[in-house]
Amino acid sequence: MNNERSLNPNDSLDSTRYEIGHEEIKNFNRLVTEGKDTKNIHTDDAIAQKAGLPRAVATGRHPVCFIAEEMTKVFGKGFIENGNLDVKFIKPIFPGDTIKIKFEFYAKEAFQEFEKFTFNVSIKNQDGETVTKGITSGIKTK
Amino acid sequence: MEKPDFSWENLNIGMIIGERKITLTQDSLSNYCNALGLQETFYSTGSPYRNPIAPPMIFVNDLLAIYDQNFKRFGTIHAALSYEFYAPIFLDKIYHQKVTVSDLFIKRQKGWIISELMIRNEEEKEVVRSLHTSVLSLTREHQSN
Repeated sequence: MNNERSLNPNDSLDSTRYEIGHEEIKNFNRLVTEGKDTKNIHTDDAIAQKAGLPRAVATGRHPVCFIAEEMTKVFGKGFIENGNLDVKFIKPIFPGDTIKIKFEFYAKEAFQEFEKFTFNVSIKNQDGETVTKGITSGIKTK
Repeated sequence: MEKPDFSWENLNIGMIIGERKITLTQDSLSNYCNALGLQETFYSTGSPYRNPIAPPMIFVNDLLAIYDQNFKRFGTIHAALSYEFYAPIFLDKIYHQKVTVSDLFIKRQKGWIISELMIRNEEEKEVVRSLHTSVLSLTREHQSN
């Protein structure tokens, strides 16, 4: 976190890739169920199908944590104290998917005595389909 | 008293769903990092503050947890999510969480709800504000333990 990267105008951030397997989904589910393994639309195909889904899906919030993680690494305090993100969930992420998070430079503007960088952020699955998209921003000292 | 169903009829705009105080511990940090496969040292020893901090998204489930304390909820499909981060989240400090219904509307023959999670620190300074947009059409048959 102390290795805040220098950013130039128009810089996009490195893309990051994550495997979202059954185990990753179970681990995230335990986080939200106080360590318990529960059956729900994220962990059980039958329950997901009752809800109208083709099979179990990862929670959309799961990869959003990775967006914040990357922004925290790059902007440090500039994200922790002045960061934001705003995303829409377009398609489900299924167990076994590999997702790629892409940050494309959108704008740079003055923010008090700092500079605010905004990125278009998208999450695509292994087939290149956009599953989540939105914007995220953080600030840096000039 | 039995909890009400998490349904359109039982919710209205401006309704306070629940409030609670929470203290994050080293275990909270470890659980979050383990669940996401993140390096904990990044927050425990590499913090840009004097003390260890929690990841900005550590409260990722707290809005739903507060709903679950007050409503029978059997599954929620999110359509959108936004976060604004205003201040670091320190371990072993008390945080106040409040969940409110920001909006309710019907679109494409479905009920939609926008819920706000506001988190303040011991000085009552805003730390995190989050808006969750989700569908209201699930029923209890969709989830079981």
